[in-house]
Amino acid sequence: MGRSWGAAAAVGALLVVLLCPAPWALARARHRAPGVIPVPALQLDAPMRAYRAYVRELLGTLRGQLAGLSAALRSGDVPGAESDWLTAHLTWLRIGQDDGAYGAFGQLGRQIDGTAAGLVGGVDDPQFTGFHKVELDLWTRGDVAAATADAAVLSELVARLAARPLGPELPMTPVGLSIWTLRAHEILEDALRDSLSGDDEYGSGTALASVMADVGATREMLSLLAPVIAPRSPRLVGRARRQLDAVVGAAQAGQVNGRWVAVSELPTAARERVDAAVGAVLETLAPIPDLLQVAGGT
Amino acid sequence: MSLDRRQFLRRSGAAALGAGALGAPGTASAAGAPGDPLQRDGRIDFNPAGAPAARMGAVPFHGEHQAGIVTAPPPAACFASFDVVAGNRADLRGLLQTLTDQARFLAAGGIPPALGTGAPPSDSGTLGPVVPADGLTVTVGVGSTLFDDRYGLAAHRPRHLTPMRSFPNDDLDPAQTGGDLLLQICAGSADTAIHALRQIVKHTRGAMQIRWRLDGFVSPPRPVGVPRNHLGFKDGIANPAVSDAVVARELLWVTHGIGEPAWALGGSYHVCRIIKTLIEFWDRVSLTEQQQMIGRFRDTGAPLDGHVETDIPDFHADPHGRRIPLTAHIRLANPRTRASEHSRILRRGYNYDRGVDLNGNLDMGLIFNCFQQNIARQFETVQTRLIGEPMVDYVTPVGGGYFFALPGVRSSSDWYGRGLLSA
Repeated sequence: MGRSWGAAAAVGALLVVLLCPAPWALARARHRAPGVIPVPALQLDAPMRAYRAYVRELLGTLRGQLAGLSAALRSGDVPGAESDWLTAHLTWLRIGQDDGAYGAFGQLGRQIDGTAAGLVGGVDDPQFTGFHKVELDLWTRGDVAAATADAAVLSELVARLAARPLGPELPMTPVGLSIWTLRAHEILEDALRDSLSGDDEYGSGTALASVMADVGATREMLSLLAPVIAPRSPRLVGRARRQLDAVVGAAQAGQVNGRWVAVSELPTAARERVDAAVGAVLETLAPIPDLLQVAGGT
Repeated sequence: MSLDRRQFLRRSGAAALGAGALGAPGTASAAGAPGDPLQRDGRIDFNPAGAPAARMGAVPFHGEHQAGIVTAPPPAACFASFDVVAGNRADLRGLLQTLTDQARFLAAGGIPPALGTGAPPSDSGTLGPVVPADGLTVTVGVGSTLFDDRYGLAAHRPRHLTPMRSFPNDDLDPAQTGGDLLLQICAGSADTAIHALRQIVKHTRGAMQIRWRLDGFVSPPRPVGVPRNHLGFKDGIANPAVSDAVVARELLWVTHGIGEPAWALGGSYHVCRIIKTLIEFWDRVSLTEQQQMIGRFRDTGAPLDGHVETDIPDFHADPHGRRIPLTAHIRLANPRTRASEHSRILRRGYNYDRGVDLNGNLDMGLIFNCFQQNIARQFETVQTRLIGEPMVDYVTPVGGGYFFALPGVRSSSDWYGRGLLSA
């Protein structure tokens, strides 16, 4: 999920809003809402550089982990492969980028971690690739040969991504920066929409582990953005961090006998606790893109 | 019959016998003082929506086209898609004739047949002893699967009728997708629509079974004009002017000379899509971004270059999308060019609201309906333009199907699909 075009348009819209004395603007003027001081693009330069370094490092780690997955599969070690798959998938999720077609990684993101939704051939569509295809092979179909081939494809996709410069996808322009700050809440929006709904479940039952990795990625975004958020909303970051702790606590408590289970198999009380914690922190995170409108974004 | 039910009958029989002996005279003393306020009944003021004065009139049932397409959408609807299980062609004919009889009666309203004491009542009674018409329309569509080898109809399939294809942003659930026959039942109030569905399935159980169903509603104007969807935006502002016969002939109805089977003339292709709206996420997005994605102001429904909802957006004057982004929903859906005018569709959407998802989110959305002459040229062309629009993060099509809304039932001796089954 990603809304790069929408965000670009939104930034562009500021001008429209200022120039158009439309009827809705008059109605809105009756309730004066607080304004927000735009963020000079330069203030996001250091956080964005730090984030790029973070992504680079994780992509390197991920490549090593995928080599391990392939080795385990070649030697027929299925439990080892399942463990390696989870480790690698959580590393991918900690990057915090989009698996849809419109995020920072573009179509490659979808190929690496998309689901079969929308593909004409469903799970048998040749375009269904990446982590969830390997998951299907291993857990649902028990097809080690297919898993071996699909893991090789996954390694190749990640290698292609790692070889690409991050500049064009995560640009230092005001619009690019605005898109990036959206991830502060969208990583967990993805967790809620795709993982906690059961939609990206292909047999491993590791959605709650995914949610914890998504929390890790969100924490990274919060750390990087905290210096610019704090002057605009002094309590937001602290509150969000406490609520993220609650998500982790609820997700960990969702393990059954030390094992992850599918969301659909969780006891209702455990599932509701996770949903509550994620929903609560999302409401806290939602204002961040609006607080961090980038100066010169038009 | 369960044991409980037998005991109930026995007891009620005994009560009836005893009633004369134990009647009124003895009860007064047991009932306490006549003026006791705790024993008095109160009154609740009920919603007057279904009261005779507020009821909608009858929509004509017979005609060249079915009702429920160009007729204004009343507030309530049931959508039910069926798998036809009739064993042979004669049973399919019987099903369509029964369906016609039921729909004809329900659309006109009246007193249901009395079956006497020898049978359960012929009508559920949920609308009272006299069934009101209440704006009821029943619109029957057939899916491509009806034209397989079961009923010998393969050669008569409408040219553009296929299973609904999956678009890249869809997440179709087979359990809520497709079906041999779709009923779109619309009415002035929810009980009228549900009553109709209940009567129809009662009389057709052996020949068709519900595959999926979903109830919908059209909100009242808030505060005026076109009703809003769950995203808070007015939805359905731009529709082709099908009251103009030329427009209807070009965009809506299957006509002579376009390569369709003769039996299909007067019908229309019906695309029904269950589109979930991820309202929790949507509600966490700024108003500015929402409006840029839609291309309209939320408060007024006006396009971003206009002031009122009826203003026509001038994309030609805004080639770079400075006022209405090039990716805005209204711009991609209807670019308003000479080339795009033949892809226009007649939309007739209903909001739905059905409980909660596994992740605790409200399961709400739009039952998107559109009618057109040619699905490939119209709906699929529009939907292809919309692939990857910014809106896709907030809406997920999860079901529905492609159907062919049959030609109208012309007279009291005609029935749904008579032309098809006689072809």
